[in-house]
Amino acid sequence: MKSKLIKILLWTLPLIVGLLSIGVGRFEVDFIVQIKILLSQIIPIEQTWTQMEETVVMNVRLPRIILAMLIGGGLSIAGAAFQGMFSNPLVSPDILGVSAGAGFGASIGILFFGNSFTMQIIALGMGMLAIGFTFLIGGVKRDMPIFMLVLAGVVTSALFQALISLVKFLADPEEKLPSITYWLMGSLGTASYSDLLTAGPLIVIGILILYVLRWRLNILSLSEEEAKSLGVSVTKLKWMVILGATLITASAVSIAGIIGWVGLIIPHIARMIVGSNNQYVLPASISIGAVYLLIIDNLSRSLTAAEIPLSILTAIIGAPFFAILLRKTGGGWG
Amino acid sequence: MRNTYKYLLGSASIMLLLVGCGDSNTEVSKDLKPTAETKMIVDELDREVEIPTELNSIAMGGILPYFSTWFIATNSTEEIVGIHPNSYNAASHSILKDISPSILDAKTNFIENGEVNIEELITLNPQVYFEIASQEKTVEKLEEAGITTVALDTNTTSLNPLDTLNRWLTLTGEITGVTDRPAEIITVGEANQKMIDDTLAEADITEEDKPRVMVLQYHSDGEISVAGSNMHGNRWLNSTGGIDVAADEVDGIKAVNMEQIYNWNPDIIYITNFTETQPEDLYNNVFEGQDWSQVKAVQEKKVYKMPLGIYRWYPPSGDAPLMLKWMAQKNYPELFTYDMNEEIKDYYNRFYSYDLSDEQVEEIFNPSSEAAKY
Repeated sequence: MKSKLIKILLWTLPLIVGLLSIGVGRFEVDFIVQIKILLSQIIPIEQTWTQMEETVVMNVRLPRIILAMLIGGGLSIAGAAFQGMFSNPLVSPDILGVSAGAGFGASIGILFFGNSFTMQIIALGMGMLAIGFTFLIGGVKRDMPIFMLVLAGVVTSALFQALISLVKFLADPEEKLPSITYWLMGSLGTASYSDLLTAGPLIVIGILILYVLRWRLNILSLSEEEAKSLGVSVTKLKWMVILGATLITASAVSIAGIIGWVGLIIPHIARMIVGSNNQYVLPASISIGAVYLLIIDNLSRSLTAAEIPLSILTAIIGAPFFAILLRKTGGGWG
Repeated sequence: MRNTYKYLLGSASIMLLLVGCGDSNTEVSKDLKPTAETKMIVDELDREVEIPTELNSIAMGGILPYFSTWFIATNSTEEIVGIHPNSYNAASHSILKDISPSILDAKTNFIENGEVNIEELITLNPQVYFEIASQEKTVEKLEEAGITTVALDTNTTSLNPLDTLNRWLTLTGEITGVTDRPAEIITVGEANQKMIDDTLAEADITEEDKPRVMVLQYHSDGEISVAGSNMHGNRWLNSTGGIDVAADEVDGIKAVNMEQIYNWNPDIIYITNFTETQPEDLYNNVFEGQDWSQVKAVQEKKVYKMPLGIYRWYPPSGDAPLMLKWMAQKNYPELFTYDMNEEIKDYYNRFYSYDLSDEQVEEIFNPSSEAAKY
């Protein structure tokens, strides 16, 4: 009974919070008006609202809400999948160096092309390149132990972090540097439908890959011999998980900057709720992650006139919340 | 093992050689410094600095707009032997290069990635070096290296946009000994301010009548940053009867979203010279995901790019008295009916002894996007 309730809640909560979020923002739109505007997209309703109200709801808030949920859910399932795969609760989706790589790509993008579509493509490409680099160091041989991959990821991250610092060092301090610094802290401030079209499909594909693999992840936590005896190709599975998580993380970074903390804590919260079976942890992570980042982004765009970078809020609000959960449950999971 | 020693010895001797070179350079520069006639001035870090009375070579670093102040205070850029690469870029995109081409002979190689390379600066050997007051460490280091350094402050708590310029003009007058020119410019600035205040008072402009204005500092597809309180834009607006919509909620420069801009819905938008965006870009709504057509200033075609004269007009440049008149007219076109074209020609003729053509005036009022780049 209880698990059924949780299941319903996990499915409906993102939808409810998403709908309520449309009413949140600096520009005041009446709740009824907001519902009318949404409905008018499907059924004809006489327009009693201003064009500006419609723009706010349809072009400013809606794409942003969808993106926040996609990225939040995506980063969380990627984190959950990695934590399952590496059998390590301290792992986050950027462990293999994707975020640092994509962040570096974005920094050069901003430096040479400004904050633009070209920048997003470079970020995405660099994220992929970083993963390739990690493989080159740690994962070429078939039977390489998995910790080699983690080490290689640490090396890659360090390298690309240094390159980011180099770009910042070279950037003009009046204009480019503040842009890069701000961007690296993560923001959905200028999220648009074109961002949704660029990154959305990739994130969805990544989520689907991980979702399909969710029950097999349990096998990965067994020893490799045991897994082989069950007839599962461990190597292939690892590749698929990494591919899915990389797609999500690199696309997320390319449109919203580096959003820390979400991919690390949400899987833990999911495990507190549904237990440690990856078959349930992964879907639950999507739902909780989507709601979490959406709420964070709502705060980011409405607390003050200035946009507050997402990474600041995910950590400042996430850390105490997580600490309380830890104290209460005594880390009772896994 | 033996090899290691060899390496160590080799590198040690190279190091010694290098150190030796550095030292001899310093000595040379000290010898070259004129000691005959000097005077004491107090810079903006409250340091007493001994400077030569006769100046024929100066350099300036992180204090980016100061070359334009120097030019307006002395009507010459001949003395300037070195400027910051960013200043150089601004100068080479501005009208200054036509008025006083010698600015383009200034060296920029003593600044690399925003840091002063002391050895290069010593080689350049300026009599006085001007640096921004916030770089106290650099100022200290330069002083230790025997380079006479004057610190200038860009920060001001004053609401008067001409405050910084006036301070620098006064100090420059003390340094060069030529005080009448700087004093005259300060007088013109103050007169312009008074004219604006009087006109606004006469017209009985109340808070409700004032235009609500937004200053767009940095802008692109992915970033909308506005300037609020404690910024130049805020000071210009205070002096020209505009209400800064961001003043209460934004301190300094902050990124905002479109929704916030709809909420402010400004009557007028000014775009700084630090960004490539042009008014037409907003009119044509070319930015993905940003619908500017809903904003009042865009609907009424009241989006203005700030001019670029001998320097960008957004920070207090040598043209600052003109900026006051320009903005007052944009804020209240029906109250301030003077011809800016003539105003600017008169000013340039009077202070820079230069006759602007109509095309040049046009260029100053419509700076290219290129000029925003460094």
